[in-house]
Order: sequence, then structure tokens, then C-alpha cells
Amino acid sequence: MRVRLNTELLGGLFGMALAAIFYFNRGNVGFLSAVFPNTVLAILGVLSAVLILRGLIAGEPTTLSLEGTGSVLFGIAVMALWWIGIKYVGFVTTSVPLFAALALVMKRRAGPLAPRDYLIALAVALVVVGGFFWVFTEVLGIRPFRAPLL
Amino acid sequence: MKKTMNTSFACMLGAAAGVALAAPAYAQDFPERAIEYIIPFNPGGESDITARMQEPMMEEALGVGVNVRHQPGGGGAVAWAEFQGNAEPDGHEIIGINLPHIVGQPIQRDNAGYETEGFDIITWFHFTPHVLVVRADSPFQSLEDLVAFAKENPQSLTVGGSGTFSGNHLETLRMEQLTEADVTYIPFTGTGPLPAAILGGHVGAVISNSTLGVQMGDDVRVLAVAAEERLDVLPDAPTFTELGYDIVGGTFRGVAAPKGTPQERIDMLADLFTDMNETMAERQVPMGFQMTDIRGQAAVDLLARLRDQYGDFLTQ
Amino acid sequence: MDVLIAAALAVMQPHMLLIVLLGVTAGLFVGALPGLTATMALALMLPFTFAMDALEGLVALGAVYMGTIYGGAFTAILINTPGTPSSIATTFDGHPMAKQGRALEAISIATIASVVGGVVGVTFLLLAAPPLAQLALKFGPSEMFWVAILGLTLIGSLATGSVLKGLLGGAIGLIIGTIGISPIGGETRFTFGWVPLQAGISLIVALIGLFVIPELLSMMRQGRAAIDTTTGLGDGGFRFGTALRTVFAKPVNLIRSCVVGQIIAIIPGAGGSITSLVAYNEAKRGSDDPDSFGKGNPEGLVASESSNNVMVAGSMVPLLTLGIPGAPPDAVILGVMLLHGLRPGLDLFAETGVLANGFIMSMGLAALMLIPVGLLGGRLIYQVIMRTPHYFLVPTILVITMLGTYALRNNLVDVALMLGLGVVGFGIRGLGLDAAPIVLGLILGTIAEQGYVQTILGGMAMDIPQLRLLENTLSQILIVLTVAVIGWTAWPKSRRRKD
Repeated sequence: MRVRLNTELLGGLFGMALAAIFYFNRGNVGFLSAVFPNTVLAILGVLSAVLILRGLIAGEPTTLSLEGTGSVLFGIAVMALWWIGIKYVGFVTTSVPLFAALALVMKRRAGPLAPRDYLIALAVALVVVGGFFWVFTEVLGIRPFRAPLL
Repeated sequence: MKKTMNTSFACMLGAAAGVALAAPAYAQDFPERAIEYIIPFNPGGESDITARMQEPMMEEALGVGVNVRHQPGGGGAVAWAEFQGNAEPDGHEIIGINLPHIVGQPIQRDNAGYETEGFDIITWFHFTPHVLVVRADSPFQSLEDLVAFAKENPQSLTVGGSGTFSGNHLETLRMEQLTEADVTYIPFTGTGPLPAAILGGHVGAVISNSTLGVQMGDDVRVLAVAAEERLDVLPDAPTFTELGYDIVGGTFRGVAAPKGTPQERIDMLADLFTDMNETMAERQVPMGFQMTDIRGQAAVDLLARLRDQYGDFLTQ
Repeated sequence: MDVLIAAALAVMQPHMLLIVLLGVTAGLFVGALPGLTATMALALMLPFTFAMDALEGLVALGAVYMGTIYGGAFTAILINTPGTPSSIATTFDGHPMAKQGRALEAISIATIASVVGGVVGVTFLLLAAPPLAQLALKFGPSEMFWVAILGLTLIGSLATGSVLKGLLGGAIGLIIGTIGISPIGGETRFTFGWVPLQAGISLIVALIGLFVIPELLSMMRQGRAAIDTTTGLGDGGFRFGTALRTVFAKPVNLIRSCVVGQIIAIIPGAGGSITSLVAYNEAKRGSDDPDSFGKGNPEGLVASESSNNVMVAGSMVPLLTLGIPGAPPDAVILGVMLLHGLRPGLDLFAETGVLANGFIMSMGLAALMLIPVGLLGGRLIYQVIMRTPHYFLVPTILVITMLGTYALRNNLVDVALMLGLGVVGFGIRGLGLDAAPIVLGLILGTIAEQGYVQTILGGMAMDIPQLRLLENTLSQILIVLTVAVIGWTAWPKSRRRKD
């Protein structure tokens, strides 16, 4: 599947939206703290406006492929779940199943999975997650996560 | 060269062993696991280096691991907020705290995320008084010269320091108030850029900690020290008090536990930090540190004193 | 001279060589892990250095520093992810080379360039430290502002597609960089009422988010690894001889990159992050065929990797002569020196010449050590990445980046910000907004803001404080340079269009 998008228009709109979010959250800060961000916001606004105008007048749509969007959305969901798991459940307990799940889903695109693949994925997940967790906690000395489980 | 270094290291080891021998006095059910010692600043700063020196001595004395972890951000506020929100009050989690930071930030910011009174202070173990320094070839020979110039030329003399509404900044405001000098304070991010600012002539003077005055040696002239008495390491520098201005202030460094930590564990850790101070004095006093032991009610009173001293500037 | 010989003898001890070897090796692996910076590596080393004498401690720190900066090149080349900020420009041509099946050759080139850079930096430090230090002192607030503006003009030539989109990316980076406590004024801004945002968006968090996560997401999308050995030319081998010839075939490029690296390194606060970008830009500008940059031109790789290793010793110039840490890792080294009772300054060379010169020489030694360690370590990392199927590689990199981001400030919020920025970055990359200009804006925004506001503050006694920005000679030189760069970027393009 392919879509044709006017990237200049969309890029400009993104910049404008970002500028708006920041503009309306300036808060009440003094001159010294405000002078620089205000200048940057003005620049951001002008650049976005120019891009929007160019997109409207002379924009040529670029063809983008949407192939694999499902995998991307799945990946984003895994990342979100992963973070929540680290915060509220535990690093190892979250990472091992999610690692294995991500690996299996990615492998499945290449062909059907054999029962053996599940075991391999789980074993690799255990070794990799456990290994790096050990290195970071014991050798590099990160602060333990504040989650109930390991 | 090598020999002296080895000797002083040997002294340090010996003293560490001394602390270790004293350890059985503390021996109880605490600590039962590794101690987490949070430093709310970047690696390489004075707080970090101090904690790294304390780490092996604490391990020796307590018989458990001690993990120094950095959690920098927001001038310390991020770590302090997280600590007050989440740390277990059982003595196994401690955090470095600094004054006047923990007094200033909650007053000055809408929501710093933590409260000045929200810690059980173990002890304030270090004090570095502020010093006012100029470059060695500066026309200002004394504080009077500088004040006279700043009165005649309002706002044209620049004074550099670390941070806004930080100790350095507040001390500048207090100096302006008491001496009626009109200077422009220029904040830098941390103490690191200050030597360049003064040596390069980007600012006319610098207000910083005594350690900077010692570190920069003959490159600078220390016009005044904000301590009650002259410092041994800077014998030629007069105090503000001697010169007729009641300015005593600087940075205090200490450690705190979460509110509600059992008192006997606080006391035990306070004793340990004080013991370690004796060892560390050997290296740190020549660098310009003053070793202190301000704990219990005195530590809390110190917060109130600083709030009186600087509160007006912060709420302006 | 006697001092230099004594220093060389002090460093050439077997246990010193071992310290350098171990330091470089450890640094290499730390540098290759995204999120772990040179500063962090040095801080972790601190307790060990207390147990050593002053020279041993400094030698160990210098070796780790050298190894980390170099190690960042591996991930930059192999998975398009700068391991440290100083290897951002390494991704531009290093990764395209890897995609063409020339990964090991790229590693060889990066190694040789790093060694040259490291040795050149040490030579500058031994021979020209005092005058360079005086130059460093000239960079006050207004000069720093213009350095940042000059740096921002890099966007014009770094942007791969539309210059306008590049500029928009830069502005996005600038505004993201203002989140948190304002550097001057000390007020909370743009935290959207969320306390943890007081810490702001750390450069490394943005770097990992904007480079790694989009790369992982596109691997998921394509269902294969970024470097595919089956479609590419495969393992072309180290081609060490070819690499050697490639590096030295363009001596102008090599010399220019080293000089640029040295100049940027002594500017306090500008630091390592932009060194490689500036050198890359200069290489591209000086080349006969600028269009081949970004597509696997080894010259770009040479420029990036030689300049960032010059910086290691180069940033020691203001540190050792004036006590001014030029880059964040130097602050740790300064701390160790002070603890050992060593006061930086010219006295350091006069009174403890053996120690000071020995430390400097050991960094040269560390640079030379990069050849064996780098080629072996590089081969190991390459083999691991090549042999791991993409469906295991992606989750593995994800685990490492999450742990690395957390380790940066021991803050789980940073991990969320990293992932969030990565997802947004992936989306806007599709719109032609690249990561490099955004990161450049983030790096330079803080420098520009501090310089601007500090200068205005310093001019409070004047009628128009802004005029102070134009006062100094060095500022004026920087302004002329900025105008020249903008003109250079705009002019040939318009001429090309007419043709």
C-alpha cells in the first residue's frame, strides 16, 4: 500500500503545532528566562508558516510506502508496555516475555514458526535480558528499579 | 612525587582501617543490605568526588556495599523530589543535600517537587565559605576599591557566579544590600566555567566557593571571605566581618535520609560521617573545605537561619 | 628535555602499559553502548583511581576517555546509532559504507583516523598548550553566542533534503532544549506542570531516541536488518592497506579535520559534541564532489573520527594549563587531580613535569593502542551484530538502549522521553525532518542562550545592551565567518539552478 503525502505541508503543520503547544505553556517567567525561547518560537512559527505556504502553493506530494505499518504499530505498543512493565512490575519479568514476543512476531513475517522457535526465543530472551541486566546493575552500577519484582 | 602520593594514600588506608575498628560499636540489625547513596548532581563535581571518597570507607565500616548513584537535573530538585516521594525510610537510602539549594528552590519555584523540611537530616559534614575573587592583575586591591567603583559606576561591574538564586547569587545580593555597591550578577552553569570567566576577563569579579579561591592560587586575588574567621588555606584574605560587613555564608553539603527513618540509624550514620570527616580532612582541608558536624536540632535551625537571611531576596 | 625522557620512562613501565590496554578496552565497549557516555565511564573509574598513585590514576582515566570516544564509532557505523554524541557525524558516511558491505573497511578507516587524531591532539598538547590556552580564554559569552550561531549554519549543508526542513528541524531542537530550568534566570519553564521535566531533555536522551528508535522501527517495518549481508557485498574484510591509503590519500582533509578538532576542543563548553559535525562539514565543503557525502564517502568518516579523537587530548589544553574543563569528562579528571593535590596551571608542568608530560604521553599511547584493540574489538562487535538474526537484534538493542538511557541519570522518566521522542522522530523522519539538525539545535541552543543572555546582562550599564554582542574582535570575526558560510551555502545552489 502506498500513500501520496504533501510532506512540506505536513512538516509545516507539525512545526506550527509544536510552536503552539509551547506558546500556550510559556507560563509567567521573567525576561531572562523568556527572551530566548520567545525568539526561537518566533523563528519556529515563521519557518513552519513558510513550509505550509510552500506546501499549499508548490507542494508536490511524495509517495510513501505504508508497507509494514502493522509491525511498526506493534513495535510502538511493545515499547509502551515495556516501559509500564519496568515501572510497575519489574525489569526482568517484563523484558523476558516482551523480548520473546517481539522476536517471534518479527520472525513470523519470514515464515511459519516451529514449536522449537518458541523455546529458542525464550532462551535467548533470558540470556540477553539477564546478561545485560547483570552488567548494568553489578558492573555499571545503575540504581535498582523501584518495582515490586525483579 | 610518587612516594608522597603513596604515603598519603597509606595514611588514608590506615585511617579507614581505624574507622573499621570502630565498626563493632555500630553493629546491630542495620544495615542488612547495600546502601544507596544518591548524588543529585553530575559526576566530577565536589559532591560527587566527596561521595566517591566516602564510598570505600563506608563499605569498610558498615560491612555492606555502598552504591553511589547520580541523578542530576534541575539543580538537584529532580533527585530530591523523587527521593521524598519514593525512598524507603529504613536508612538504606540516603541522599546528598546542599544548602542553600534546598532552602532556595522550594521558595523560588512554583513547584520544585519537594519540601525543605521533608528530609531527616543526618549531618551537614562540609562547609565551603563564599569568597569574592578578582584576577591577579585587577585594579581592585581591596573590597573597598571594588565597592567604591561599583557605587560610582552603577551596574557596570560584572560579578560571575554559579546559577541563579543559588548561594553565589544570594550572597551577591546580600553584598549589594550591605555595601550599597551596584553590580550586575552574571550566572554561569556550575563552577566549571568560572575560572575561564575570570581569567579571560569576561567578568570583573567572581563569587564562588573557597575551593575555587584555593585552586586558582596566584592567578587570582581573594578580596574577602564570607566566613567567621580567616581560613588557614587563605591566610591573607580578610573576612567580610573584619571589613565591617556582616556576611557569612557559603555552601553546606550534607546527607539526609527519608522522613521517618529510625533515629538510632540516623545517629549511627551521623557518627560514621563524622568519623570519615577526620580522614577526609587530610585531603580536603588543604583544598579549601571546612569539616563540620551539624546534626539534630542544629541542622534544622540552620535551615531557618538561611531562610531568614535570604528569604527576602527569594520572594522579591 | 630531561623531563620528557623521564616522563616517557615513567609511562613505559609494563604495569602502565597494562593500565592503558585495559582502559582502552573497557572504554571501547562502554562507548559502543548507546547511553553510556565518557563522563559516566570516568565517574565509574573514580574509586579505582583513589587506590592508585596520581600518574596511574590519570593514565587510566585518559585511556578510558580515548577508548570511549573511539568506541562510539562502532555502533555509528554498524547500526546508524552514535554511541556517544561525538560520533554523530560518523553515522553520515560510516553507515552507508556498512550498507554497501564495507563495514569492516569503514571500521579500519575509523580506527586509523582515530589514531591519527589522537596522536595529533597529543602533539598539540605537548608543543602548543600555552598559546592555545590563551586563545581559549578569548571565548567569552558573546563569542560563545556567535560560535553557536555559526554552528547552526551547519544545518544548511548537513540537511540531506530540503534546507528549509533542515532549518525547521534545528528550530525544533532549539525549542526542545529550552524545557526545564532556564540556565539564566533559574526559572521553571515548559514543564507542563510535570515535576520531572525540571531536568529538561538531556542531549543523550534525545540522541538515543531520535537515532536508535527510528532505526529499530524501520527494521521492524522492513522485516530485516539495516545491514543485510545477503543483498550487500558481504564481508569485504578489513582491507587495512586500502584503508591506510584511503586515509592518507587526502592529507588536506586529514590535516584540516585535526586543526578544526583542536580549535573546537579548546572552546570551553562547545565540547566534543559538535567537533565531528564541524569537521565533517568542512570536509564536505572542501571536497570536489560534495554530493557524494552522506552516501558512503570515506572522507566524511575520516573527518569525523580524526577530529573527535583530537578533541580528547585537545580539551586537556585548557584543563591542564588553566584548570578549565573543556568538555564534561574533563571535569572528572580535574576532580581527580585536585584530590591528589595537583593544581592545574603552568606550575603543573614546572613542578610536576614528569607527571604532567607522562599523562599526556600516555594518551598518545592509548591512541596507538586503538589499532590492535580496535581491530579485534571491532571484529568481535561486527561478528556479533552480523550473526545475530534481525529478529533478535532489534529486541536486544532495545534492552540495551533502555538500560543505557536509565543509567544516564538513574531516571525512568528519561526512558519514557527517549521512547516518546523516538516514535515522534520516526514519524517526522517520514516527512523529511532528519534527526541530525534536531540534535544540533539541542546542543547549540543552550550555548546560544547562555551566551546571549550573559552578554546582555554584562551590558546592563549600556543604553542598548545588545550592542555588546558586536564589541569584541573575535565576535566580529565569527560574524564574518557566519555570513560567509551562509553565503557559501546559498550561492552555489542558486547558480546550479540557473544552469
